[in-house]
Amino acid sequence: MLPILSLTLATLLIGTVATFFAGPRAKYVAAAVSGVFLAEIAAMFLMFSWPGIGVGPTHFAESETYAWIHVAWLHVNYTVGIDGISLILILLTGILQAVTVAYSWNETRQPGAWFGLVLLTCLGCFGVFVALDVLLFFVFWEVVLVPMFFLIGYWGGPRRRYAALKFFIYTHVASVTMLVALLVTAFYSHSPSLDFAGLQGSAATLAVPTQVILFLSLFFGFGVKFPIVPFHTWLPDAHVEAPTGGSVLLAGLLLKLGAYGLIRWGLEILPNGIAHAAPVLYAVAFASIVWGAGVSLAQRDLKRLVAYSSINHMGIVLLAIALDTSLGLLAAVLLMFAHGIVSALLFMVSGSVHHTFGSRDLASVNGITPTAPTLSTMTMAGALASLGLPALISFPAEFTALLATWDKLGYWVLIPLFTLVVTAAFYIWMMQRLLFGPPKGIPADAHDLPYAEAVAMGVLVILTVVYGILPNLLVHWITLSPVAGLP
Amino acid sequence: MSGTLSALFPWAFLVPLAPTLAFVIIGLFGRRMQRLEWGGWVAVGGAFVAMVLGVLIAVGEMLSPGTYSDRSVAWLTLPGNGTGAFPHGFSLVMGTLVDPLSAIMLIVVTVVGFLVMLFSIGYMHRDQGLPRYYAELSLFLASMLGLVLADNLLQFFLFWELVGVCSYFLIGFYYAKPSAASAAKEAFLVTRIGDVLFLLGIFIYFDLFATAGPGAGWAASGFLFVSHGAPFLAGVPVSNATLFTVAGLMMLGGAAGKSAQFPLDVWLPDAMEGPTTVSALIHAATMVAAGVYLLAVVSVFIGFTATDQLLIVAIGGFTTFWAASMALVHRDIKRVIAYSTVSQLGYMVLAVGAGFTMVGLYHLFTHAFFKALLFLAAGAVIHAVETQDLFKMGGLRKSMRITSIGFLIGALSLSGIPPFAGFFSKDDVLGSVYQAAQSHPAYWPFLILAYATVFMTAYYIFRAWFLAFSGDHPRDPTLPHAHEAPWTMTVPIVILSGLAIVAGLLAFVPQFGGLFRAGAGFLPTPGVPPTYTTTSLLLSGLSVGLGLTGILTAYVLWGNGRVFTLAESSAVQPIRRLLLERYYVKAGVDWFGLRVVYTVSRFLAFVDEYIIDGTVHGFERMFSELSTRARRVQSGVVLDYAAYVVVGLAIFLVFLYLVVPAFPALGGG
Amino acid sequence: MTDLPLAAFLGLSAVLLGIGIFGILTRRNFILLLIAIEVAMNAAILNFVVFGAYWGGTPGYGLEGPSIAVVLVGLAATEVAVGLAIVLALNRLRGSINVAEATVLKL
Repeated sequence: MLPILSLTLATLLIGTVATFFAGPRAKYVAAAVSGVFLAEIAAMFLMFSWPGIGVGPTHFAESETYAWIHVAWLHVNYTVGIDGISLILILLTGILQAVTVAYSWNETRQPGAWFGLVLLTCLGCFGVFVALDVLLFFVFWEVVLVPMFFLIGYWGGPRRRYAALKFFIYTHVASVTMLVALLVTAFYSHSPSLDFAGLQGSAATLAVPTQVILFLSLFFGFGVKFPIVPFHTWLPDAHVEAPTGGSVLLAGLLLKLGAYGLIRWGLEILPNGIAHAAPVLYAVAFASIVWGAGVSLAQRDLKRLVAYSSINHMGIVLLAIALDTSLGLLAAVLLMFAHGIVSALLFMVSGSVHHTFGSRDLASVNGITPTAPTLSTMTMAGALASLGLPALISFPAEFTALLATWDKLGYWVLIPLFTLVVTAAFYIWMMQRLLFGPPKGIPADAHDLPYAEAVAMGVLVILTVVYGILPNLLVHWITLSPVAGLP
Repeated sequence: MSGTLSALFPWAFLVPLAPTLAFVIIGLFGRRMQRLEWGGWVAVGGAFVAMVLGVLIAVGEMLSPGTYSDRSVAWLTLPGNGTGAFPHGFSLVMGTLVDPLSAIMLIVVTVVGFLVMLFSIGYMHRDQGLPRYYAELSLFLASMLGLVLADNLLQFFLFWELVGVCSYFLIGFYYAKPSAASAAKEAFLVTRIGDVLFLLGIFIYFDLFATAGPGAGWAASGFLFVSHGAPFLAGVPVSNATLFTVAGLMMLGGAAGKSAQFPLDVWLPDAMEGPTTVSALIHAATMVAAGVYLLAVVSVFIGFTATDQLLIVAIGGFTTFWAASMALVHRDIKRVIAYSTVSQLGYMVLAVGAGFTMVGLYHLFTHAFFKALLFLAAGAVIHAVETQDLFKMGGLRKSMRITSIGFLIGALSLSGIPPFAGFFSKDDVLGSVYQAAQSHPAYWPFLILAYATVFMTAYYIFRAWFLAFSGDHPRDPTLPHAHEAPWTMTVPIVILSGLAIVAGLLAFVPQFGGLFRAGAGFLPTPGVPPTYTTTSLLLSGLSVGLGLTGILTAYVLWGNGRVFTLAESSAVQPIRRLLLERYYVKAGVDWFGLRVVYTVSRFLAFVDEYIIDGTVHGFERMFSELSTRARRVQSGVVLDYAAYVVVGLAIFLVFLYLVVPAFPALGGG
Repeated sequence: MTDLPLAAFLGLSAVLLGIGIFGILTRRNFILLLIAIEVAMNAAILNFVVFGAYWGGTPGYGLEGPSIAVVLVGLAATEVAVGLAIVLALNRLRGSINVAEATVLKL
């Protein structure tokens, strides 16, 4: 059988290195790498659904294991594998890498480094989604931080140093907590094994209070990436200072790492932990949902508004995960995908508004529709998708998430439900200020979207509509994996 | 013949598809079309195809009554894993449903949709952004038809939201006008509150049917509209009556948002910022009726509990009166008709709540035609004189004969004067609520309010007619000289005038009336309208008398170009001001939105920036202070570092060999 | 190997370590300092060799001791190379190889 996962990793690795050294031609290399990556993802989908292939003893299809570090008492393997959840997130990685490259096609400042770092971020995310060994997972997890740090710190806005450092410190403290918790889980058992199945086995031998404590530590570690209230303040700063491509990857992929980690290395490793710690997660999720929406309403900076709305959406993801039901898990993965696509679109919109009109201030840039009709259409599509309009991608995700919440928590669902009104309010109000009304603050040389940006956003809008009308295209793959059928 | 037409049922999905196609074509090639002025005709074509197919299907349903459903599209499938809340999983499907209810709505939506599209060609020709207008209107028509043909609550909700967003865009069509953008926002957000309640209701129903329903069929079907010959609640002893009541109330909440029922009625009069054609199609005939249709569908397939019914009656009856009272004093012709719409929707809700679902739909059917007629006629007037202020108009009877007669027919129909359409349906509504009140005394106050509204309705609509059309000349001499509208506008007005006359009588045609009588075990007996007895004739006489009195009052005060001015000192003056200020509800909503919600949100943002992030910065300062002190240890002299290493080693050794053995808890001993 | 008790080797190693540490703490001359470090490190290498031989042949233990010792010898050589390079640079820069005076890298 074709070792498709390792092949993809190799492609991305070689592609990244090649891009770094390609100088002004980096964008062509990056585009080629994205194309190959997407082809390989298509191959993964094919192999995943081929009957009789792939579903190995650990429930992971395409599983590959090679010894990496073996000493007498410690076995660290290079183990990779995918299930339905990672497959969907890998698809998201491929899509976002391609559109980020397309969007920043005209990047002139150090294009080699820019495209190389973009590819490296996606490489790290892909690694996180396939790694089935704690150490391998952690390596990829940290690999993601470095390029993002430089993307913000070099190409960012005026306060980029502050934002990059804040991002790095927050996420690093969190990942250290996470690593310690995972290692403790592994080393508590008598034959420490660092791969996924081994960790599951050794976690089962732990006392329940220990499991709960470990789970909460993991929750903190992954939660900062979500981000959860009150550890969220790095996100708006990072987004506001990050360049558009950086924001797209940050919101579209990096936030998903936390949610994915919580499912893969929290929920599935420590089922007793989630069973007892769920109320904590619910409380944090509700707080994030309400807080994100409430603070968004007061924002004047378009990008900050979108950033806070991410906190709100990821709060719903957390809620769906915390429910610990198969419907909740399905909803969480759908929402992650939906938010990845839609927030990427909205951050591209903010970026384009910023460099077309010189400002993202909703109080000083108004009525852009006559000047930039295409940009205006993209803004509407993004805002409507994000507020959960049916026939767009977020709706099936939010619908299943709220249905799952009602099933498990009953009338608590009113909290996220009524937050939907607030979400609608800040997007509709944003559109009223930015798109409609008499034009104001429009520079004389303002123009509609450049071709590259329009293509990148157009692809995302099309995906939003297609998956919104036919969510089974995603659901089918997620539910193929036995893991999504978590009891 | 009947067999041929019912063979069309599997192709019902083509009805919404035709305007969808128009939407796609105009959306893709719109800019090119603006020059050639084709966009409008493409939209008209889409609507025409939809109308032909829709009416044929409705006729097929008349000739061979029954329910046809097609549930072939799996939208979202969760395979069961034997555990959890859904052990067998579930499949949410999309499909089409043809039954008497959807047949009635198909006729309403496609006919009014086509006529309004045609009217738009003449009405909108002066405007910019026509491709956008026709694209959005076509999308609206497609979504509305999708809603009408929906065969489960989820699909219903999906299209429900889509028509909502089309309404949002069309209200804000003149987006450069701040008031239009603001009205669009208000419409979206107020209905959104209803939508959220609706969604919760869907969850409850889904759960009830998927987990607690009778038999395995329910587990798979979820909340599909399945006909049992009787509403679900009437057929099965229910263990979970409270949940059914709550779910029913949530449906009422959704319907109140969409159909502008109290207390979510504030958005509809403001929605008049959109083009008049949009008001006619969306905010009079179709979309606002979707709320009533929802209540009808739920009452037919699931049923309401007695508590729900009382609340629905209360909301409907009160709204009827509440909205009509505000229509009494306004000067804007479109606003008067808008309040009238809210009030008439209240009648429909009232009938559905009282258990007479098909009577409510009957009024919906006739109302769609005469209200669209009133709006289109008003549109023709606005098009001619370029103002919406009734007090500036006058004497238009002479220059706009067809329009003035059209408006008059609409007004007579709205006032419930026989033999116009409104008479039959309104009479049925009042009669059925009277019948229901015999066994439910709590309905009485709302029946009285409904009767009082008959008088007010006749008064306000004839006040509008006299102000606009009677007299010799416009009161404001600066108005442009009015001409009769072009044929694309008068033809729809004439057709709708005809329908406003005969739509009520149509119900006496056996096949057509069968849709409302709905044989074939579709409805339980309470859905049949009352038979004509002495009491019912007396009641009819009462409502016609009230209507005629209203018209007479309007004539006395406003007839022949008179303008009735209330003395400043009059005792009625405060009431008039209260009504003009819309009971201060609008001000209250603005205050709540701008002051309360926004202030809370500003406060949250302040806490976020200065308290949460402030704490983070506090830690940052603390660590930087500590490290400034700690770094003095770093003298830079290598020998010092070497000394630290040795001292550290010594401490470690002392700990290991002296301290640890002394304390067994540390692992020594 | 059997002639001498383990303690003798460990004693030698301890003496070497003591000499090394004494040298590190007292020398100001960079080259002498390097030599002292080397002496201390040799104590560690000796320990690896001794224990490797001591446990040799026991099941589960292989050539870990000697092989780590070889790695450490390589490390020591690298360290001297780098150290001497620093000495040369320091001498060129300041004309002195007294480590107590080389504090420019201090924050």
